[in-house]
Amino acid sequence: MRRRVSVGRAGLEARLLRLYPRAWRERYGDEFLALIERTRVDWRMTMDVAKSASAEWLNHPNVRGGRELLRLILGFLAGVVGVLGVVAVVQASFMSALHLNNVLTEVAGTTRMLVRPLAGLWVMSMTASLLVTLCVIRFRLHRSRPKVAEYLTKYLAFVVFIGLLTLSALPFARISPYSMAMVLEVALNVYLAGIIVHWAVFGGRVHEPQAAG
Amino acid sequence: MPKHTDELNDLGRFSEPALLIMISLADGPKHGYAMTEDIEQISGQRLGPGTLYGGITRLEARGWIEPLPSDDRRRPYKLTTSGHKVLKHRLAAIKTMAKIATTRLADA
Repeated sequence: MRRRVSVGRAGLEARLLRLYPRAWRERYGDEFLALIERTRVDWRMTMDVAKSASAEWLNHPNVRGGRELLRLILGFLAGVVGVLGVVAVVQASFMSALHLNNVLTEVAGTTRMLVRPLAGLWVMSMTASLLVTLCVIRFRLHRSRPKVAEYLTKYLAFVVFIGLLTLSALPFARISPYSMAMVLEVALNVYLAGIIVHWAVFGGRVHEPQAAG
Repeated sequence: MPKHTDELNDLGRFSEPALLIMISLADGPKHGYAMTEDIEQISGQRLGPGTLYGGITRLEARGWIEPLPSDDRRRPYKLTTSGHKVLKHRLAAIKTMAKIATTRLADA
């Protein structure tokens, strides 16, 4: 019978296994997982697995050509481009929001009070729309994969947590709606960057160990 | 130097783990975790799972060990006939080397 392990630990083991080429995972994946489930996870063990996985990518004769390595490199590059894209969008939205803020300083009293939060909303809207688009694309591509929904839930939970934290600090720190929007913006971008790297490198999937038959 | 010994040395950084795995399997089939425990007892060093399976992968690719059928995920391995020969040659080479080293130390 399979030993029960915590979800977090199982996730780590699955990630370690995903460092190996697919051909290797198909052959040794189940027994390798059975071994690492009984091994203490620390940095030595992680380094040991990472070194061995890199050796399999480079040397193992059963690896199917360089296709997987190429896919991994392209995935990594896509992740880098994706993160840079997010940074560019954020930069642009911040600049435009700052411009709007400067314009608003010219506007008197009540009008400024009413209109100023719009600057914050403007900052958030670009990233939020990008986020929603990516989520829709992802759900459409992997509707049949419940693990993806699990990951999205995790990331969204993080964003909600940051949002609630910010809201709870609002009365004490006298944070303006504009500043709050900035904090939420940062949280959204951490989420986006994480999700892009995860999709690019891990393909949004988690290896599900099968019992050897 | 016998050919088999050269082949074992060709395993690069996995040469030593591969030798330890073969020694561990010399008295019968074992699965990964049992090998790790046994090797720790024999040599005092605990192989990480990556190193262990790096060795297993290469030994199996060369036909020196082979997997046995198993009902659970832990798959046992055993030495093949050619693996047995490779191990014998390697141990003979180590024995010769140890004898020379011991003699030289005594002469020094």
